[in-house]
Parts: sequence; C-alpha cells; structure tokens
Amino acid sequence: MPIFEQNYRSWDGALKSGGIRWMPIASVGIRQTFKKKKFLFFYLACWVTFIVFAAIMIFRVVAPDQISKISEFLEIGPVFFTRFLAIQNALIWGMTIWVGSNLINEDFKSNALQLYLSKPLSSNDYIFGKISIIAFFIFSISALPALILFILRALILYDPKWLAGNFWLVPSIIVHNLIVALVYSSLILFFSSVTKNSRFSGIGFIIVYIMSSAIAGILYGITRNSLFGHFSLEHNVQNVLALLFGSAGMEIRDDFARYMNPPVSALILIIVSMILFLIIKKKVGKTEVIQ
Amino acid sequence: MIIQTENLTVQYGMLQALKSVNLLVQGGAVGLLGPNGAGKTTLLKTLLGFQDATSGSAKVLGLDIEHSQMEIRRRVGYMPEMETYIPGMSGIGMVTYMGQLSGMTRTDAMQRAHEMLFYVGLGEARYRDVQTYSTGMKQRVKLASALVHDPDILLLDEPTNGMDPDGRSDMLALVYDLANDRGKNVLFCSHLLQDVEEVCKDIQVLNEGELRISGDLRELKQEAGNVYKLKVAGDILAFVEALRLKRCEVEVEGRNLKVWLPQNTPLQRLFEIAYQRKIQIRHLAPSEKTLEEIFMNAVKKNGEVANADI
Repeated sequence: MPIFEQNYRSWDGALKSGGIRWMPIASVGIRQTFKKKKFLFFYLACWVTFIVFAAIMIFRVVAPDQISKISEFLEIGPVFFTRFLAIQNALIWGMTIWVGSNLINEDFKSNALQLYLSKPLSSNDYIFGKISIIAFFIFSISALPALILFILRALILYDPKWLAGNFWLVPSIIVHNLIVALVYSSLILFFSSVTKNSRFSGIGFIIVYIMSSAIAGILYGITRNSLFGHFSLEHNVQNVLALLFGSAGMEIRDDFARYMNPPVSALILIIVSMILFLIIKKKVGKTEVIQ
Repeated sequence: MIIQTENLTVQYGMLQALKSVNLLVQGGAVGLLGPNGAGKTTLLKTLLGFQDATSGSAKVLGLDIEHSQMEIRRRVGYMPEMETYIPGMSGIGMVTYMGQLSGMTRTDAMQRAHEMLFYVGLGEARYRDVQTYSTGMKQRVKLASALVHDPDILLLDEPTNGMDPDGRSDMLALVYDLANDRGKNVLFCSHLLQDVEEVCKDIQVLNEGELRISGDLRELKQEAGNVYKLKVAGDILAFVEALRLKRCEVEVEGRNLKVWLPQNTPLQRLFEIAYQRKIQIRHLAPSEKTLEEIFMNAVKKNGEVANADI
C-alpha cells in the first residue's frame, strides 16, 4: 500500500502563541538526562549528604543532651546550612559537567539548531532552555535538599523563635543557587558551544575551575594582594556564600579568600556569566544556522 | 499570495547570494529550481528569519519576515537540506518534541507525532533511536517533524537527497499527496528537475542569486509560435528542403523533425508539402519544451550553462 494512503488529517487545535517557549527544551532535556542509568546513580549519590544531614537533625531530636556537647557543627542554624551547601558545591561542578558538557555541541554535530530555530523559538529561548536543564539539576541537589532540611527542622523541632530568626536562610539558599547555576551553566555551555567534543568541554570547565584558583593563589602568594583572589572561580563562589550567609559563610572560605570582597565576587561572577552568555548567543545565532 | 518578495537582496560579505529577487508564489506545489549555489537555500533561510535581508522585503502568508518571524515559524514547516536530528531521541520522541516546540501541548504533540510517523511510513520504526535510522528514514522523520503542527506552508529543501529510488518515489508521492490532495502549500526546493516536474505545477528558477524564470510549468513548456514534432517516412531530405523553401525552420534527428511554421501559416500547409513530396506523416504533435530545456535556457550565461545535476 502506498504510504500516502495512511491518512493525513489536519490538526485543528490551537498552538500556544506566547508563554514560556523554552519550557519544552528544559522539560525534555531533564527527562532525557534522567534516562541515563549511570547519571541516575550519580544523582542519587548527590543526595547522600542530605541523608547524613537529615540524620544529624533527627539525632538531635532523639538525643538532644548528648549532642549539645559534641560540636557547633550539629547546631541547626546558618553554619549547618552553609556547610551543607559548601559540600554540595563540590558535587555541583561534577553535575554541571555531566549534564551540560554535551548540551550544545551535540546539537551542532547533528545540525539540530536548524530544527530548533525553524520553530517559533529565538536563540535566547534555546540558550535559556539549556541553562534551565543545568539549573534544574543544580537546584535539585543543592537548594531543594537544603530547603527540605529547613522545613524538616521547622517541623520536627517546632520553635517560632528559631523560625523567625533563621527565615532569611531561605532566600539566601535560593539566591546562592541562582548565582551558582548562572555561573556554572554559562561556563559549561560556553565550552559546549566552542568545542565539538563533550569531553573537551568538560575538560575546559575543570581547567578553568582548577587553574583559576591556582593562578589566583600564585598571584596572591607573590603579591599578597587579595584582589588577585578574584581570578578564582571557586573563591568567588565561596565569597558569594559568605555574602549571603554572613559570618557562617565567612568561616568556610579558604585562607586568602577571607581577604576578598564578597560583593565584588558576586559582581564579577554575574559580569563573567553575561559575557559568556553573549558569546554563546553569537555561536548559536545566525552564523551557526547558516553554516 | 503565500510568498512575496520585493527586491530581496542578501549579501554575505562581498558575495551577493540573492540579487533583488521579486518572487510571487501563489500557492499549491511550487518548485524552486536552481543549480548548486543559486541561492535557493539562502532564500528559504531568509524567509524563516535565519538570515537577515540586506535590502528589500518579503512576506510569508502576508506576514513581514522582519517583524513577524515567530508567527511565520508557527505557520511554516521547514525540512532542512542537511541531515538533522535531535541526538539521543527516538523518532516518536523527536517529532513530539518538535510539536511541543511549535506550541502544541505534550499530549497533542504525542498523538500527532504517531499519526505523522505512520503517514511518512515510519510507523514500525517510530520507537527506534533516530541516530540508527538510514538516510531515507532520516529524511522521512524530518518531513514528519515539519508536518507535526499542521503548517500552512511546507518549505522542503532537497527532500529527496540521499534517498534510494523507492524512497525517492515514496517521498515524491507524499509531497504530491500533501500538495494536491491535502491542500498544503509546498515550496519544493531542488536541483533535480525530474523531482520538481513530478510534483509541482509552478516553478521558479534561480541562478546566481537572480530569479530567471517563474510561472506555470505547463505554460512555460509551450513553444512560442507554431512548433510541431513530426515522425516521417519517405525522402526526408527533399521534405526538409521543401519546408525550408517555405521559410520553415527545421531540426532533424533521424526520422524525427521539429518544425517551426512561419506566423499565420496554417498546419494544412505542412500536410500539402508532405503530400507533394510523397512523405508519410506517421506522428504529429504540437511541440513542448522539456523542463530541462526551460532550465538550461534560464541558467545560460554568455552561452555557457551553469553546473546543474539533471
């Protein structure tokens, strides 16, 4: 039977004309990522910290007298949450590499950009959709468990005073994750858009992460000028944590990062992200489609 | 009018890819012909907003390409020339995704993707990873992706590229069905004249960025004046000589003749000459140009013919 005898029917539904055009990119990207078994294992491993911290919290309820003598670390307050986020930060960059290193270059290789951009989608929508995939995973292993811990604390040790005194942690956790997601996703997508191989984009990300700290450390060691600390991606991120979590965040910084200016770090990270975003936009934009 | 361009010019650095193109596409199946590098793909990409026009203007479905890009893309289905797919997805996943990107809900897109994959002949292979598809299957999945949101116009860029004869014939049957039985407007961009001839009723010929010919294929095929093709038996040389004496132009190819009768000369005159020279006319029909001849004339430049695959 000739194939055209399979009927073609017109579709009389309405196409959405406004709204969030990048949403399908994000949702499909997240689903695709979860389909990889190895990734799922890594993702679940990222929740181990949460389980440990939740256990500590529950332990405090079960044996509050013993615990109070052990360590300040077990006090459920800003330090507790800052330490949790600091540990998760180390996992976030692994997550970023895993999720983001092939997001754009695979589309270049398969000429998929022509398919994307022939639909009612701008290059900004495309990039934002890709950023959202990385941001989702960063949020889900960092801000989400931190917020669950906060809610757990509020529920199992209900104390209105504690809640009132620590509620600022909620926006701090979210803003910290937003900045980290913006910086890490723009950096990995930059490498993904300029390299043809996802391994190279992952390596590029690691080199920037490690080398920027090494260079900053060497320059600081030679000059003793804390301004050079701002060359380091890692230390700028630490400073954002310090900016948002006050004294609790200050304590977890490395030595020379303590002399850096946290607002300057936040500003540098945002400016760098914007520059990277513009480069990605240029790569994804018309020249790539024209070939 | 589904597509209209006015003095549309596109320039890449020093190279003018389109030179003041004035195109009118009425609807139905229209073939956009031209040798490689003629500007066909540039035209499609400019209509979709991938490439800015250097000067001039264009409208697709009455929408200006400069100001209504998103609305145009919502109403147009584009099948690119290159091998394109979404990595790591099955056929059904990819077409559903394209539907969602066009503005359909996931449920609608999924249902429609199934229908479209059956329509293009990939029903059995729809759960396979697109990366494992053959070239012909990739062409079909591209067509399904272009059709999923039921667009008003289909822009097909070399849709039969890389397909085997059966696949090519199926693809042409699909495009014919879409244009003639389903009422879709199709701009069929190809350098394969046979493909265009099978599917399209109108053609537009581009060469070196210029629109050389446009119009109804049947009208374009008609020869200007009284031109006939004959198959004859008898003393052909004497017959040809007699025709030339009567101011007829004659082309001879074995027993086949092509005769241009002078203006206002009735066909009866031809029979009279044949009768006088004792020539049997075994076949006579008004002469039509082939698409190949039309194309060759259109792309001729200083007596040369541009490189085309015919």
